[in-house]
Amino acid sequence: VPLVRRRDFLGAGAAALASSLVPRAAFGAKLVAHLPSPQDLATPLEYFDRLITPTEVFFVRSHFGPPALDPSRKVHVEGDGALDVSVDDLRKFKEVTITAVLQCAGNGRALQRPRVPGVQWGHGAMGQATWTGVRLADVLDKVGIPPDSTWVHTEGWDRPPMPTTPRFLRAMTVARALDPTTLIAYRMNGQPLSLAHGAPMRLVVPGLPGDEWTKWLRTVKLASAEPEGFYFQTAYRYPTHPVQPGAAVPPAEMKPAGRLPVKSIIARPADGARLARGRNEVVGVAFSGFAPVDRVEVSVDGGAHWSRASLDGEPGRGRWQVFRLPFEAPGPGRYVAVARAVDGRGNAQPQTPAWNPSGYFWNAWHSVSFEVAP
Amino acid sequence: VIALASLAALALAASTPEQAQPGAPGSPPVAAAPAPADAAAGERLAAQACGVCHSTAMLSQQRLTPAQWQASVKKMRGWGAQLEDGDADLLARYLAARYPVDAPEAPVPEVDAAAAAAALAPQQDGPFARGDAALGAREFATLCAPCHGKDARGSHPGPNLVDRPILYRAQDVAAIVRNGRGQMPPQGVTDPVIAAIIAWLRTLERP
Repeated sequence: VPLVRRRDFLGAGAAALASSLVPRAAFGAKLVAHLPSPQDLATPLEYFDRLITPTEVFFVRSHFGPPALDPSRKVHVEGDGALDVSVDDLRKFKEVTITAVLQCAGNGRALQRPRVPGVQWGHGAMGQATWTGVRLADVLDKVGIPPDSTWVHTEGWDRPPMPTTPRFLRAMTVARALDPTTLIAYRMNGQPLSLAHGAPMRLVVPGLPGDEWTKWLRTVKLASAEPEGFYFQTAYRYPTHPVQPGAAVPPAEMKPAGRLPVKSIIARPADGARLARGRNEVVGVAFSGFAPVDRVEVSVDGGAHWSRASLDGEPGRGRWQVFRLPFEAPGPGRYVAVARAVDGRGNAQPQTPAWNPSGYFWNAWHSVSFEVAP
Repeated sequence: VIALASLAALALAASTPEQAQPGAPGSPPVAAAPAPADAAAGERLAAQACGVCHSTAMLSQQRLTPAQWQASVKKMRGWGAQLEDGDADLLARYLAARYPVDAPEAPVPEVDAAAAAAALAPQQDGPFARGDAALGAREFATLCAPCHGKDARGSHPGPNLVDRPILYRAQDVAAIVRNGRGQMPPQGVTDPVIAAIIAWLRTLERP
Protein backbone atom coordinates (compact mmCIF):
# COMPACT_ATOMS: atom_id res chain seq x y z
CA VAL A 1 0.00 0.00 0.00
CA PRO A 2 1.56 3.29 -0.97
CA LEU A 3 2.22 5.62 1.92
CA VAL A 4 2.57 8.61 -0.35
CA ARG A 5 -0.82 9.71 -1.59
CA ARG A 6 -0.84 13.11 -3.13
CA ARG A 7 -4.62 13.11 -3.46
CA ASP A 8 -5.08 11.64 -0.03
CA PHE A 9 -6.07 14.70 1.91
CA LEU A 10 -4.58 17.78 0.40
CA GLY A 11 -4.43 18.16 -3.33
CA ALA A 12 -2.15 20.75 -4.89
CA GLY A 13 -4.03 24.04 -4.96
CA ALA A 14 -6.60 22.81 -2.49
CA ALA A 15 -5.41 25.00 0.36
CA ALA A 16 -8.78 26.73 0.77
CA LEU A 17 -10.53 23.40 1.04
CA ALA A 18 -7.80 22.13 3.32
CA SER A 19 -8.18 24.93 5.82
CA SER A 20 -11.82 23.96 6.31
CA LEU A 21 -10.68 20.40 6.96
CA VAL A 22 -8.01 21.21 9.54
CA PRO A 23 -8.74 19.00 12.53
CA ARG A 24 -9.27 21.01 15.68
CA ALA A 25 -9.22 20.25 19.35
CA ALA A 26 -12.00 21.67 21.50
CA PHE A 27 -11.61 25.18 22.90
CA GLY A 28 -9.69 25.04 26.18
CA ALA A 29 -7.87 21.83 25.18
CA LYS A 30 -5.06 20.72 27.48
CA LEU A 31 -1.64 19.15 27.08
CA VAL A 32 0.25 17.25 29.76
CA ALA A 33 3.25 19.33 30.84
CA HIS A 34 6.14 17.00 31.60
CA LEU A 35 8.43 20.02 31.37
CA PRO A 36 7.29 23.62 31.06
CA SER A 37 10.55 24.92 29.58
CA PRO A 38 11.93 23.86 27.21
CA GLN A 39 8.47 22.50 26.45
CA ASP A 40 8.00 18.75 26.72
CA LEU A 41 4.24 18.40 26.38
CA ALA A 42 2.28 15.20 25.93
CA THR A 43 -0.99 14.58 24.11
CA PRO A 44 -3.79 13.35 26.40
CA LEU A 45 -4.78 9.76 25.59
CA GLU A 46 -8.35 10.76 24.74
CA TYR A 47 -7.09 12.05 21.37
CA PHE A 48 -5.84 8.63 20.31
CA ASP A 49 -9.30 7.73 19.06
CA ARG A 50 -8.88 9.34 15.63
CA LEU A 51 -6.69 9.26 12.56
CA ILE A 52 -5.36 12.82 12.81
CA THR A 53 -4.16 14.42 16.04
CA PRO A 54 -5.10 18.11 16.10
CA THR A 55 -1.98 20.28 16.00
CA GLU A 56 -2.94 22.23 19.15
CA VAL A 57 -2.77 19.05 21.22
CA PHE A 58 0.06 17.34 19.32
CA PHE A 59 2.92 16.45 21.66
CA VAL A 60 5.93 18.78 21.78
CA ARG A 61 9.49 17.69 22.47
CA SER A 62 13.00 19.00 21.93
CA HIS A 63 16.25 18.96 23.83
CA PHE A 64 16.91 22.70 23.88
CA GLY A 65 13.72 24.47 22.83
CA PRO A 66 13.17 26.30 19.56
CA PRO A 67 15.23 29.02 17.92
CA ALA A 68 13.51 32.35 17.21
CA LEU A 69 10.64 32.25 14.74
CA ASP A 70 11.92 33.19 11.29
CA PRO A 71 9.94 31.98 8.26
CA SER A 72 12.78 33.02 5.93
CA ARG A 73 15.33 30.56 7.32
CA LYS A 74 17.03 28.39 4.72
CA VAL A 75 18.21 24.81 4.76
CA HIS A 76 21.77 24.24 3.59
CA VAL A 77 21.91 21.03 1.54
CA GLU A 78 25.34 19.70 0.65
CA GLY A 79 26.40 16.87 -1.64
CA ASP A 80 28.40 17.15 -4.87
CA GLY A 81 27.15 20.72 -4.95
CA ALA A 82 25.30 22.79 -2.41
CA LEU A 83 21.95 24.51 -2.22
CA ASP A 84 20.37 26.88 0.29
CA VAL A 85 16.61 26.58 0.14
CA SER A 86 13.80 28.49 1.82
CA VAL A 87 10.20 27.30 1.91
CA ASP A 88 9.57 29.42 -1.20
CA ASP A 89 12.53 27.82 -2.98
CA LEU A 90 11.04 24.38 -2.35
CA ARG A 91 8.12 25.28 -4.64
CA LYS A 92 10.41 24.24 -7.51
CA PHE A 93 10.04 20.65 -6.34
CA LYS A 94 6.98 18.43 -6.49
CA GLU A 95 4.77 18.84 -3.43
CA VAL A 96 3.81 15.71 -1.52
CA THR A 97 1.46 15.12 1.41
CA ILE A 98 1.64 12.03 3.57
CA THR A 99 -0.06 10.88 6.75
CA ALA A 100 2.36 9.47 9.31
CA VAL A 101 2.93 8.86 13.01
CA LEU A 102 5.47 10.93 14.88
CA GLN A 103 6.54 9.26 18.10
CA CYS A 104 9.33 10.12 20.52
CA ALA A 105 11.77 7.23 21.03
CA GLY A 106 11.27 7.70 24.79
CA ASN A 107 7.48 7.48 24.74
CA GLY A 108 6.46 5.23 27.63
CA ARG A 109 9.79 5.58 29.44
CA ALA A 110 8.00 6.07 32.78
CA LEU A 111 6.64 2.52 32.54
CA GLN A 112 9.99 0.77 32.21
CA ARG A 113 11.46 -1.03 35.25
CA PRO A 114 14.12 -0.57 36.46
CA ARG A 115 13.60 3.12 35.80
CA VAL A 116 16.03 5.11 33.72
CA PRO A 117 16.71 8.85 33.65
CA GLY A 118 15.05 11.09 31.07
CA VAL A 119 11.72 12.75 30.51
CA GLN A 120 9.22 10.41 32.15
CA TRP A 121 6.73 10.14 29.32
CA GLY A 122 3.57 8.12 29.76
CA HIS A 123 1.90 7.28 26.45
CA GLY A 124 1.40 10.81 25.16
CA ALA A 125 4.61 11.47 23.19
CA MET A 126 3.03 10.45 19.89
CA GLY A 127 0.61 11.75 17.30
CA GLN A 128 -0.38 11.43 13.69
CA ALA A 129 -0.61 14.31 11.25
CA THR A 130 -0.61 15.02 7.56
CA TRP A 131 2.79 16.36 6.53
CA THR A 132 3.24 18.43 3.38
CA GLY A 133 6.56 19.21 1.77
CA VAL A 134 8.94 17.86 -0.83
CA ARG A 135 10.81 14.60 -1.05
CA LEU A 136 14.29 14.81 0.45
CA ALA A 137 15.35 12.54 -2.45
CA ASP A 138 14.39 15.22 -4.98
CA VAL A 139 16.45 17.86 -3.18
CA LEU A 140 19.45 15.55 -2.74
CA ASP A 141 19.24 14.64 -6.41
CA LYS A 142 19.46 18.33 -7.25
CA VAL A 143 22.74 18.80 -5.32
CA GLY A 144 24.12 15.48 -6.54
CA ILE A 145 24.87 12.45 -4.39
CA PRO A 146 28.58 11.57 -4.18
CA PRO A 147 28.99 7.85 -4.92
CA ASP A 148 30.73 7.14 -1.61
CA SER A 149 27.90 8.67 0.45
CA THR A 150 26.51 6.39 3.11
CA TRP A 151 25.01 8.81 5.64
CA VAL A 152 22.97 11.97 5.60
CA HIS A 153 23.84 14.23 8.55
CA THR A 154 21.15 16.59 9.77
CA GLU A 155 21.11 19.50 12.20
CA GLY A 156 18.55 22.03 13.32
CA TRP A 157 18.89 25.71 14.21
CA ASP A 158 18.30 24.96 17.89
CA ARG A 159 21.28 25.42 20.17
CA PRO A 160 22.12 24.17 23.65
CA PRO A 161 22.07 26.62 26.57
CA MET A 162 25.86 26.51 26.90
CA PRO A 163 28.72 26.05 24.44
CA THR A 164 29.98 23.14 26.55
CA THR A 165 26.76 21.18 26.00
CA PRO A 166 26.71 19.04 22.85
CA ARG A 167 24.68 20.24 19.91
CA PHE A 168 21.73 18.15 18.83
CA LEU A 169 22.50 16.35 15.58
CA ARG A 170 21.31 13.21 13.87
CA ALA A 171 21.95 11.12 10.78
CA MET A 172 20.14 8.57 8.67
CA THR A 173 21.37 6.23 5.98
CA VAL A 174 21.33 7.47 2.40
CA ALA A 175 18.86 4.70 1.59
CA ARG A 176 16.46 5.99 4.22
CA ALA A 177 16.93 9.59 3.06
CA LEU A 178 16.07 8.55 -0.51
CA ASP A 179 12.93 6.69 0.58
CA PRO A 180 9.98 8.42 -1.14
CA THR A 181 8.28 8.95 2.24
CA THR A 182 11.18 11.01 3.65
CA LEU A 183 10.25 14.68 3.32
CA ILE A 184 11.40 18.18 4.05
CA ALA A 185 8.02 19.35 5.34
CA TYR A 186 6.66 22.86 5.79
CA ARG A 187 3.02 22.15 6.60
CA MET A 188 1.41 20.03 9.29
CA ASN A 189 -2.30 19.22 9.15
CA GLY A 190 -2.63 21.70 6.28
CA GLN A 191 -1.14 24.70 8.09
CA PRO A 192 2.39 26.13 8.04
CA LEU A 193 4.51 24.43 10.70
CA SER A 194 4.26 26.14 14.07
CA LEU A 195 7.45 27.05 15.92
CA ALA A 196 6.94 24.23 18.42
CA HIS A 197 6.74 21.74 15.56
CA GLY A 198 9.79 22.93 13.65
CA ALA A 199 8.99 26.08 11.63
CA PRO A 200 9.78 26.78 8.96
CA MET A 201 10.97 23.32 7.85
CA ARG A 202 11.49 19.93 9.44
CA LEU A 203 12.23 16.41 8.36
CA VAL A 204 9.51 13.77 8.18
CA VAL A 205 10.84 10.21 8.34
CA PRO A 206 7.87 7.86 8.69
CA GLY A 207 8.60 4.70 10.64
CA LEU A 208 11.56 6.20 12.50
CA PRO A 209 11.29 7.87 15.92
CA GLY A 210 11.06 11.62 16.40
CA ASP A 211 14.78 12.22 16.90
CA GLU A 212 15.24 11.67 13.14
CA TRP A 213 12.51 14.19 12.28
CA THR A 214 14.88 17.14 12.77
CA LYS A 215 12.96 20.31 13.53
CA TRP A 216 14.01 23.85 12.55
CA LEU A 217 16.04 22.14 9.83
CA ARG A 218 19.32 23.91 9.12
CA THR A 219 21.70 21.51 7.39
CA VAL A 220 21.45 18.28 5.40
CA LYS A 221 24.84 16.91 4.37
CA LEU A 222 25.76 13.79 2.48
CA ALA A 223 28.74 12.07 4.08
CA SER A 224 30.74 8.88 3.86
CA ALA A 225 30.85 8.29 7.63
CA GLU A 226 28.65 8.55 10.71
CA PRO A 227 28.65 11.97 12.38
CA GLU A 228 30.58 12.53 15.58
CA GLY A 229 28.81 13.80 18.64
CA PHE A 230 26.88 12.67 21.69
CA TYR A 231 23.47 12.76 20.03
CA PHE A 232 24.49 10.26 17.39
CA GLN A 233 27.27 8.22 18.95
CA THR A 234 25.75 7.79 22.41
CA ALA A 235 22.10 8.85 22.47
CA TYR A 236 19.25 7.15 20.62
CA ARG A 237 20.93 3.77 20.76
CA TYR A 238 19.53 0.39 21.61
CA PRO A 239 21.25 -2.85 22.65
CA THR A 240 22.30 -5.14 19.80
CA HIS A 241 21.11 -8.13 21.85
CA PRO A 242 18.73 -8.64 24.79
CA VAL A 243 20.22 -7.41 28.07
CA GLN A 244 19.46 -8.00 31.72
CA PRO A 245 17.13 -5.29 33.06
CA GLY A 246 19.27 -2.65 34.74
CA ALA A 247 22.49 -3.83 33.11
CA ALA A 248 25.19 -1.42 31.97
CA VAL A 249 25.60 -2.04 28.24
CA PRO A 250 29.03 -1.37 26.68
CA PRO A 251 28.90 1.20 23.81
CA ALA A 252 30.12 -1.41 21.31
CA GLU A 253 26.96 -3.39 22.03
CA MET A 254 24.64 -0.49 21.18
CA LYS A 255 23.34 0.44 17.72
CA PRO A 256 21.12 3.25 16.40
CA ALA A 257 17.62 2.67 17.75
CA GLY A 258 16.02 2.14 14.33
CA ARG A 259 12.36 1.77 13.53
CA LEU A 260 9.32 2.12 15.75
CA PRO A 261 8.18 -1.31 16.93
CA VAL A 262 4.54 -2.36 16.57
CA LYS A 263 2.28 -0.76 19.15
CA SER A 264 -1.34 -0.15 20.04
CA ILE A 265 -2.76 2.23 22.60
CA ILE A 266 -6.31 2.37 23.99
CA ALA A 267 -7.90 5.84 24.01
CA ARG A 268 -11.27 4.75 25.41
CA PRO A 269 -12.36 3.62 27.89
CA ALA A 270 -10.00 5.78 29.89
CA ASP A 271 -8.21 4.02 32.72
CA GLY A 272 -10.45 4.41 35.76
CA ALA A 273 -13.54 5.34 33.69
CA ARG A 274 -17.06 4.53 34.78
CA LEU A 275 -19.25 3.43 31.87
CA ALA A 276 -23.01 3.20 31.56
CA ARG A 277 -24.45 -0.28 31.00
CA GLY A 278 -25.20 -1.29 27.45
CA ARG A 279 -23.20 -1.05 24.28
CA ASN A 280 -19.66 0.36 24.66
CA GLU A 281 -16.49 0.12 22.61
CA VAL A 282 -12.75 -0.10 23.05
CA VAL A 283 -11.11 2.43 20.69
CA GLY A 284 -7.48 3.24 20.04
CA VAL A 285 -4.69 3.47 17.49
CA ALA A 286 -2.13 0.96 16.23
CA PHE A 287 0.99 1.31 14.08
CA SER A 288 4.39 -0.13 13.25
CA GLY A 289 7.51 1.33 11.72
CA PHE A 290 8.17 -1.93 9.88
CA ALA A 291 4.94 -2.63 8.00
CA PRO A 292 1.26 -1.74 7.95
CA VAL A 293 -0.77 -3.09 10.86
CA ASP A 294 -2.10 -6.56 10.17
CA ARG A 295 -4.48 -6.88 13.10
CA VAL A 296 -5.35 -5.63 16.55
CA GLU A 297 -6.78 -8.00 19.13
CA VAL A 298 -8.68 -6.71 22.11
CA SER A 299 -9.69 -8.38 25.34
CA VAL A 300 -12.25 -6.97 27.74
CA ASP A 301 -11.73 -9.62 30.37
CA GLY A 302 -8.14 -8.90 31.27
CA GLY A 303 -6.63 -11.15 28.60
CA ALA A 304 -8.68 -14.33 29.03
CA HIS A 305 -10.48 -13.97 25.68
CA TRP A 306 -9.43 -11.94 22.63
CA SER A 307 -11.42 -10.57 19.69
CA ARG A 308 -10.21 -9.01 16.48
CA ALA A 309 -10.94 -5.28 16.32
CA SER A 310 -12.02 -3.48 13.15
CA LEU A 311 -9.49 -1.08 11.59
CA ASP A 312 -10.26 2.35 10.09
CA GLY A 313 -7.95 4.42 7.92
CA GLU A 314 -5.41 3.77 5.21
CA PRO A 315 -2.85 1.10 6.13
CA GLY A 316 0.80 2.07 5.81
CA ARG A 317 4.22 1.65 7.32
CA GLY A 318 4.66 4.27 10.03
CA ARG A 319 1.03 5.26 9.82
CA TRP A 320 -1.60 4.56 12.42
CA GLN A 321 -5.05 3.14 12.01
CA VAL A 322 -7.92 3.40 14.46
CA PHE A 323 -9.13 0.13 15.95
CA ARG A 324 -12.56 -0.48 17.46
CA LEU A 325 -14.12 -3.32 19.36
CA PRO A 326 -17.75 -2.91 20.41
CA PHE A 327 -18.75 -4.81 23.52
CA GLU A 328 -21.55 -5.10 25.99
CA ALA A 329 -20.75 -5.87 29.61
CA PRO A 330 -22.95 -8.64 31.04
CA GLY A 331 -23.28 -6.91 34.36
CA PRO A 332 -21.96 -4.17 36.57
CA GLY A 333 -18.46 -4.41 37.95
CA ARG A 334 -14.82 -3.78 37.17
CA TYR A 335 -13.26 -4.85 33.86
CA VAL A 336 -9.86 -4.68 32.23
CA ALA A 337 -9.46 -4.05 28.51
CA VAL A 338 -6.19 -5.02 26.83
CA ALA A 339 -5.02 -4.34 23.26
CA ARG A 340 -2.23 -5.97 21.26
CA ALA A 341 -1.25 -5.45 17.63
CA VAL A 342 0.58 -7.49 15.00
CA ASP A 343 2.12 -5.90 11.91
CA GLY A 344 2.32 -7.18 8.34
CA ARG A 345 5.73 -8.72 8.96
CA GLY A 346 4.41 -10.76 11.85
CA ASN A 347 5.97 -8.57 14.54
CA ALA A 348 3.73 -8.87 17.60
CA GLN A 349 3.38 -6.33 20.37
CA PRO A 350 4.95 -7.96 23.45
CA GLN A 351 3.27 -8.41 26.81
CA THR A 352 6.48 -7.14 28.39
CA PRO A 353 8.96 -5.24 26.20
CA ALA A 354 12.72 -5.71 26.41
CA TRP A 355 14.38 -3.40 28.91
CA ASN A 356 16.95 -1.01 27.47
CA PRO A 357 19.22 1.59 29.09
CA SER A 358 17.49 4.66 27.67
CA GLY A 359 13.91 3.51 28.03
CA TYR A 360 13.08 3.60 24.33
CA PHE A 361 10.23 2.00 22.43
CA TRP A 362 7.94 0.91 25.28
CA ASN A 363 5.23 -1.09 23.53
CA ALA A 364 3.72 -3.44 26.09
CA TRP A 365 0.15 -4.59 25.62
CA HIS A 366 -1.84 -1.59 26.79
CA SER A 367 -4.45 -2.22 29.43
CA VAL A 368 -7.08 -0.03 31.07
CA SER A 369 -9.26 -0.78 34.04
CA PHE A 370 -12.82 0.54 34.05
CA GLU A 371 -16.09 0.09 35.83
CA VAL A 372 -19.53 -0.63 34.39
CA ALA A 373 -22.27 1.03 36.41
CA PRO A 374 -25.16 -0.99 37.85
CA VAL B 1 -20.21 -7.50 19.85
CA ILE B 2 -18.87 -9.78 22.49
CA ALA B 3 -20.26 -10.42 25.90
CA LEU B 4 -18.14 -10.54 29.01
CA ALA B 5 -17.94 -13.72 30.96
CA SER B 6 -17.28 -12.67 34.52
CA LEU B 7 -15.50 -10.39 36.86
CA ALA B 8 -12.35 -12.46 36.55
CA ALA B 9 -10.91 -9.33 35.02
CA LEU B 10 -10.33 -7.88 38.43
CA ALA B 11 -7.95 -10.63 39.43
CA LEU B 12 -6.05 -10.27 36.18
CA ALA B 13 -5.63 -6.57 36.61
CA ALA B 14 -2.88 -7.11 39.11
CA SER B 15 -0.73 -8.82 36.51
CA THR B 16 -1.15 -6.32 33.72
CA PRO B 17 2.15 -5.14 32.29
CA GLU B 18 1.94 -1.57 33.51
CA GLN B 19 1.81 -2.58 37.10
CA ALA B 20 5.32 -3.93 37.21
CA GLN B 21 7.02 -3.60 40.55
CA PRO B 22 9.04 -0.45 41.13
CA GLY B 23 12.69 -0.73 42.02
CA ALA B 24 15.48 -2.49 40.23
CA PRO B 25 16.42 -6.07 40.87
CA GLY B 26 19.67 -5.86 42.78
CA SER B 27 19.48 -2.10 42.95
CA PRO B 28 21.90 -0.51 45.40
CA PRO B 29 20.59 0.33 48.84
CA VAL B 30 18.90 3.69 49.17
CA ALA B 31 21.37 6.35 50.23
CA ALA B 32 21.29 7.39 53.82
CA ALA B 33 19.25 10.57 54.11
CA PRO B 34 21.57 13.54 54.30
CA ALA B 35 21.66 15.63 57.44
CA PRO B 36 19.36 18.68 57.32
CA ALA B 37 22.30 21.00 56.64
CA ASP B 38 23.37 18.80 53.74
CA ALA B 39 19.79 18.73 52.45
CA ALA B 40 19.69 22.51 52.43
CA ALA B 41 23.09 22.63 50.71
CA GLY B 42 21.93 20.00 48.21
CA GLU B 43 18.83 21.97 47.36
CA ARG B 44 20.93 25.08 46.83
CA LEU B 45 23.36 23.18 44.58
CA ALA B 46 20.45 21.76 42.56
CA ALA B 47 19.14 25.27 42.00
CA GLN B 48 22.58 26.60 41.05
CA ALA B 49 23.96 23.74 38.98
CA CYS B 50 20.83 22.14 37.48
CA GLY B 51 18.56 25.17 37.37
CA VAL B 52 20.61 26.92 34.68
CA CYS B 53 19.18 24.55 32.07
CA HIS B 54 16.49 22.45 33.76
CA SER B 55 13.09 23.13 35.27
CA THR B 56 12.63 21.63 38.72
CA ALA B 57 10.20 19.19 37.10
CA MET B 58 13.14 17.56 35.30
CA LEU B 59 14.47 16.49 38.68
CA SER B 60 11.20 15.73 40.46
CA GLN B 61 9.94 13.36 37.75
CA GLN B 62 13.02 11.13 38.10
CA ARG B 63 13.08 8.26 40.56
CA LEU B 64 16.56 6.84 40.41
CA THR B 65 19.12 4.83 42.34
CA PRO B 66 22.10 6.54 43.98
CA ALA B 67 24.32 5.11 41.23
CA GLN B 68 22.05 6.57 38.53
CA TRP B 69 22.04 9.98 40.23
CA GLN B 70 25.83 9.92 40.48
CA ALA B 71 26.08 9.05 36.79
CA SER B 72 23.65 11.83 35.87
CA VAL B 73 25.57 14.43 37.87
CA LYS B 74 28.83 13.25 36.29
CA LYS B 75 27.34 13.51 32.79
CA MET B 76 26.03 17.01 33.47
CA ARG B 77 29.40 18.17 34.83
CA GLY B 78 30.86 17.06 31.53
CA TRP B 79 28.26 19.18 29.77
CA GLY B 80 29.04 22.29 31.77
CA ALA B 81 27.33 22.08 35.17
CA GLN B 82 29.59 24.02 37.56
CA LEU B 83 30.32 21.85 40.59
CA GLU B 84 33.38 21.23 42.71
CA ASP B 85 34.15 17.55 43.41
CA GLY B 86 32.77 17.61 46.93
CA ASP B 87 29.69 19.52 45.85
CA ALA B 88 28.98 17.05 43.03
CA ASP B 89 29.02 14.22 45.54
CA LEU B 90 26.79 16.11 47.93
CA LEU B 91 24.37 16.98 45.12
CA ALA B 92 24.15 13.35 43.95
CA ARG B 93 23.45 12.18 47.51
CA TYR B 94 20.82 14.88 47.96
CA LEU B 95 19.08 13.93 44.71
CA ALA B 96 19.18 10.22 45.57
CA ALA B 97 17.57 10.92 48.93
CA ARG B 98 15.03 13.37 47.56
CA TYR B 99 14.06 11.46 44.38
CA PRO B 100 14.72 7.78 45.11
CA VAL B 101 13.33 4.80 43.16
CA ASP B 102 10.53 4.36 45.66
CA ALA B 103 9.45 8.00 45.78
CA PRO B 104 5.77 8.62 45.13
CA GLU B 105 4.98 9.50 41.52
CA ALA B 106 5.26 13.23 40.95
CA PRO B 107 1.98 14.68 39.63
CA VAL B 108 2.21 15.91 36.03
CA PRO B 109 0.31 19.17 35.57
CA GLU B 110 -1.88 20.00 32.61
CA VAL B 111 -1.29 23.12 30.59
CA ASP B 112 -3.72 24.97 28.38
CA ALA B 113 -2.75 24.16 24.78
CA ALA B 114 -3.35 27.72 23.59
CA ALA B 115 -1.25 29.12 26.44
CA ALA B 116 1.60 26.73 25.61
CA ALA B 117 1.61 27.92 21.98
CA ALA B 118 1.35 31.56 23.07
CA ALA B 119 4.40 31.17 25.31
CA LEU B 120 6.58 30.85 22.20
CA ALA B 121 4.83 33.41 19.99
CA PRO B 122 6.42 36.79 19.22
CA GLN B 123 4.98 39.82 21.08
CA GLN B 124 4.69 43.44 20.01
CA ASP B 125 7.85 45.30 20.99
CA GLY B 126 5.82 48.19 22.39
CA PRO B 127 8.09 50.50 24.45
CA PHE B 128 11.08 48.29 23.58
CA ALA B 129 10.99 48.93 19.83
CA ARG B 130 13.87 50.53 17.91
CA GLY B 131 16.54 50.09 20.58
CA ASP B 132 20.05 51.47 20.09
CA ALA B 133 22.12 48.36 19.34
CA ALA B 134 25.46 50.12 19.98
CA LEU B 135 24.27 51.18 23.42
CA GLY B 136 22.94 47.65 23.90
CA ALA B 137 26.40 46.16 23.26
CA ARG B 138 27.91 48.37 25.97
CA GLU B 139 25.14 47.76 28.48
CA PHE B 140 25.23 44.01 27.85
CA ALA B 141 28.99 43.93 28.48
CA THR B 142 28.62 45.28 32.00
CA LEU B 143 25.15 44.11 32.99
CA CYS B 144 24.71 40.67 31.37
CA ALA B 145 28.05 39.35 30.09
CA PRO B 146 29.39 38.28 33.50
CA CYS B 147 26.79 35.48 33.53
CA HIS B 148 25.68 34.99 29.91
CA GLY B 149 29.15 35.35 28.37
CA LYS B 150 30.51 38.28 26.37
CA ASP B 151 29.11 36.87 23.14
CA ALA B 152 25.78 36.00 24.87
CA ARG B 153 26.18 32.34 23.90
CA GLY B 154 25.87 31.04 27.43
CA SER B 155 28.24 30.82 30.37
CA HIS B 156 27.74 30.47 34.12
CA PRO B 157 25.10 30.73 35.30
CA GLY B 158 23.44 32.41 32.33
CA PRO B 159 22.22 30.39 29.31
CA ASN B 160 22.59 31.23 25.61
CA LEU B 161 20.51 34.22 24.51
CA VAL B 162 21.27 34.23 20.79
CA ASP B 163 18.51 33.32 18.32
CA ARG B 164 16.03 32.55 21.08
CA PRO B 165 12.24 33.11 20.87
CA ILE B 166 12.40 35.37 23.92
CA LEU B 167 14.30 38.01 21.94
CA TYR B 168 10.98 38.66 20.22
CA ARG B 169 9.08 38.73 23.50
CA ALA B 170 10.34 42.06 24.80
CA GLN B 171 7.72 42.34 27.53
CA ASP B 172 8.89 39.00 28.95
CA VAL B 173 12.53 40.09 28.76
CA ALA B 174 11.70 43.25 30.70
CA ALA B 175 9.82 41.27 33.35
CA ILE B 176 12.70 38.84 33.83
CA VAL B 177 15.33 41.61 33.93
CA ARG B 178 13.36 43.63 36.48
CA ASN B 179 12.00 40.79 38.64
CA GLY B 180 14.91 38.38 38.33
CA ARG B 181 14.51 34.67 37.71
CA GLY B 182 16.27 31.69 39.22
CA GLN B 183 19.76 32.90 40.06
CA MET B 184 19.33 36.11 38.11
CA PRO B 185 18.95 39.06 40.48
CA PRO B 186 16.49 41.86 39.66
CA GLN B 187 18.08 44.72 37.71
CA GLY B 188 16.81 48.27 37.86
CA VAL B 189 17.11 49.34 34.21
CA THR B 190 15.16 51.73 32.02
CA ASP B 191 13.03 50.85 29.00
CA PRO B 192 15.61 52.29 26.55
CA VAL B 193 18.37 50.13 28.05
CA ILE B 194 16.26 46.98 27.77
CA ALA B 195 15.31 47.96 24.22
CA ALA B 196 18.99 48.55 23.41
CA ILE B 197 20.11 45.18 24.77
CA ILE B 198 17.35 43.40 22.85
CA ALA B 199 18.31 45.29 19.68
CA TRP B 200 21.95 44.24 20.05
CA LEU B 201 21.12 40.60 20.80
CA ARG B 202 19.03 40.49 17.63
CA THR B 203 22.03 41.52 15.55
CA LEU B 204 24.19 38.60 16.67
CA GLU B 205 25.04 35.96 14.15
CA ARG B 206 23.25 32.70 14.75
CA PRO B 207 25.48 30.18 16.46
